[in-house]
Amino acid sequence: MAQHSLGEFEELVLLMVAALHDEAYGVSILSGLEKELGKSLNISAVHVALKRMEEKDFVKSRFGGITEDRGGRRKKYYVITALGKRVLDEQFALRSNIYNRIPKISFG
Amino acid sequence: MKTSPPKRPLQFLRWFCREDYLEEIEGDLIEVFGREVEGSPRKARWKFSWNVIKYFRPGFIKKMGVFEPRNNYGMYRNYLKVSFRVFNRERMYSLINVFGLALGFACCLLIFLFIKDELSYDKFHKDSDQIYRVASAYMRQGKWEPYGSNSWRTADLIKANFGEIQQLIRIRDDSEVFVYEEKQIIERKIAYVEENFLEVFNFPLLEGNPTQALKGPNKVVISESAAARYFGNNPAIGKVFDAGDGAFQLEVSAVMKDMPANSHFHFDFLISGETQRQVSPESLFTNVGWDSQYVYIKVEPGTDPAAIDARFPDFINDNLDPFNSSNFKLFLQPLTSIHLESDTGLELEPNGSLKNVYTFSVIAIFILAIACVNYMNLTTARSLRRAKEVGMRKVLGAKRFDLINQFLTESFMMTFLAILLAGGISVSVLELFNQFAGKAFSADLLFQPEILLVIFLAFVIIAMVSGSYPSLVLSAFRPLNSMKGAGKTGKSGFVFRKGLVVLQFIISMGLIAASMIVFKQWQYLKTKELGINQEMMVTIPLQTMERSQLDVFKNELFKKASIKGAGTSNMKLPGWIFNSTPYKAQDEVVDAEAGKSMKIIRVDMDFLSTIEAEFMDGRNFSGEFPADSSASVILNESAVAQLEWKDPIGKWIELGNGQQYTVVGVVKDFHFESLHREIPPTIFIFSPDFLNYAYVRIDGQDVQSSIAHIGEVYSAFVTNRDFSYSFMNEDIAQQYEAEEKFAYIFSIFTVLAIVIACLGTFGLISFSAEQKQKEIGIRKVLGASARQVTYILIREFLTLLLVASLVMWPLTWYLANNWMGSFVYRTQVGIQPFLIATVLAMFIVLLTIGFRALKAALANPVESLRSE
Repeated sequence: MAQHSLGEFEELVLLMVAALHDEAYGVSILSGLEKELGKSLNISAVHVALKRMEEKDFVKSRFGGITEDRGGRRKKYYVITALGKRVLDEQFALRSNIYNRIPKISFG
Repeated sequence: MKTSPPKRPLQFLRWFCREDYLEEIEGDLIEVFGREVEGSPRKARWKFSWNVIKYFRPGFIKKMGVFEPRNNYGMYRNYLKVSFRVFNRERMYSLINVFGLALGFACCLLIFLFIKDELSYDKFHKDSDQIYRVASAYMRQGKWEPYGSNSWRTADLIKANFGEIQQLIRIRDDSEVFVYEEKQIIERKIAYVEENFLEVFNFPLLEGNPTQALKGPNKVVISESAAARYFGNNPAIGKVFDAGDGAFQLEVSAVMKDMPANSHFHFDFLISGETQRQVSPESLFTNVGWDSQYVYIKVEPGTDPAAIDARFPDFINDNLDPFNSSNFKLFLQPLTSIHLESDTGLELEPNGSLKNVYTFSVIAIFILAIACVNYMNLTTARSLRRAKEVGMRKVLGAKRFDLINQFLTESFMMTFLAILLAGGISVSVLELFNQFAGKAFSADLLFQPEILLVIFLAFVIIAMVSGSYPSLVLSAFRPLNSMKGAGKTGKSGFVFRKGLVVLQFIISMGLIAASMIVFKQWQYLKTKELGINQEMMVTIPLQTMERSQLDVFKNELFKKASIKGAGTSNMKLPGWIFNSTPYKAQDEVVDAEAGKSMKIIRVDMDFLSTIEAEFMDGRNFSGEFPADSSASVILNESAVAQLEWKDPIGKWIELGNGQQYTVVGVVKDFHFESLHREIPPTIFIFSPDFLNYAYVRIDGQDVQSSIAHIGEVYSAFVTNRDFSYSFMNEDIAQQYEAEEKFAYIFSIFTVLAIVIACLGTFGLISFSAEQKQKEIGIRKVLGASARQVTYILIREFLTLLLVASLVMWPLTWYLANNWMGSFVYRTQVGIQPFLIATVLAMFIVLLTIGFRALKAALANPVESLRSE
């Protein structure tokens, strides 16, 4: 599935978008990931990943309402699309498939 | 504490960031900043700036600078799209249009290649502007007769007397049999040259030393292809040829690249000048009248050739006895002008013609003009259908400038297609063109940067020129009228287009008439009565035949009954008579006019009777009169006329050798030389030797076996050369090959011009039919017949054609007479080429427009009238 390729960081962002469901926008995704990964990330990296995935139709976006702490700028919320979900599933299935094939004995 | 993010990075972000991303990114950045600013404002600011910089990457930057999305981008895309749609909708018109332009352009491209090549001759030599050829001219029958050659001695004297000459080179062309092991080949492209030849002329060597290669005797520099011919892939240096039937040996001292096509001479073998001393008689080096050498000089930079020319008369008087400045002339020809401008009696190779270069340039421009006019006409004609589009665009806010832009864009697109097509056409007919033009152009020549640049310029210019008029006309439509469907353009516009059509007619009819005149002249040259019978005559070069055996040879020939006659002469008929003699004659009014001379031809007893020359008076040479072999001559009419003799038979004439001869006969003037030259006063002298060509008349019944017989007999007498022969009538026709080629190329371009012009006429009749749709409808409703309506449509074109004829007739008449003026023997221009041109053009035009007119006339008037 070449056209449905998903980079590692993209996958993380996509997972976070799916997890945050309807509350996912730049900063919330960023802080969610920082918490999970335990290291600080750059907001621009998140945006790059989001834009790419939006082009690939893995996520779609809409503008939210105006909030005070953003100097009057609207938030842009992202939700995962059916395609995005499928890609995630496939990615997960692929990994667990291969993972399950690891012979237990090797770590005996 | 409420801290705002730093201003400058934010401005920067707003400047470069895509607008559709900006709000989101700005918002997120500010939110992140807001969280961090409490901890450490400095760090937060710094991080904010850093983040901004991180967005400075392709995905987020908006189109900038030159790539700034101007809003007319979309417009251009729309123009292109509309062009494609129009192209598709009116495929036939569009193809006609593009094809016409492509044809015109392909013609021009080929002509351009031809002209460029003709103009490039000899320019590859490093100092070509300093090199001249010293040509000579003799006063013959009151006219200067130019020759490209000079004598060895003259060259020596020139070198000694003119200090501004840096280098002087003598070239003597020759043909010789070369033998290397089993290979024995007659080489016709050999030259004796001086040791500095390779210094003055730039012919690169592949092997060998350019300064040493021609020093000393018995050295030869051979061309790459000659080396391959004899030695294949083996090294050539040091190999030794036997030449001149064992008379001398030549050692290969260097191998040069083949001389480029655009050189006015091409030699395969350059033999060192010293060798000449061994093989040539002494008088070659001492006799100033032996024109064996082509003399080239290289002068000091900045020397004025006219100054040298001016000093030649004195030089001749002082040094070149028996010549003086009234009967002999020397003049310089710039090396680079020789190919196009020199037309002397002796040339190393047939040259080109400046006249042809001019003619073809004019034709190229004509054809291109016709093609452009065509484009204008067709586009404007089709534009009526697009009146609504123009109206709509105007209503939606397009300015006139935008519409001009649109139609120019379209013109550029069409021209581009045409040029691609023209490239294809040129490449595919290149082979054919080469045959006609006698060139060897390869297709990659079309892709030289220089040519590509010219093509590009032509592309822009043609697109601008041919797009200008339609775009101006179309953009001037008034939206209201055009939307209503009455896209009538002004009266003046139509007059302009009519003018263009008249121009097309003039050019194409003029070309028809001109090509007929050219053909007529060629036919005339080919078929003019020459005063001899050239049919069934076989010409055989005697080569190394023992001349004392000639009679035996002839007797052997006559053993076959199909051999009807055989005679010999020292010259090839047809050919230029080089030999000329001064004379004194009985009863001659001795006037002071010096330089009176006559041409002289050596013949045997049977020559004049074999070629069937007609005797006016007296008799032919005959064995019955022993005196004939030493003291008799025959004159031609012109000679008698020059002597002003009433009764020539029995009078004496003294020739240049001091001997007196008695005139025994007078032959009617016949053409020994080509019809490009007047029949000169000629003396035929009986001579048992110096004869070089045998002329054999054969029976028309069994040509093959007669020639086989001649070949057999010949081979019995000549063992070291191959038998070769030619037919006299073919030789004669061949003299007019240049005219033939010219006539054919001319007619090809004429046909093309007519085809292109027809396309244009077709466009215009369509335009006119469409414009008069309503008029036709009303006429038909009121009872006009289809025939009458057709006539109304056609009438206008016939008028244009007649107007064009009126201009074309005198114009072509003048030009044709001018061209004919360069021929000594010429046919009448006559009236019929003009009549035929007009009638033919009328016929073609009627054919082209007839169907379209009829279609318009047959249309149901309801269709045209109900629309309003």
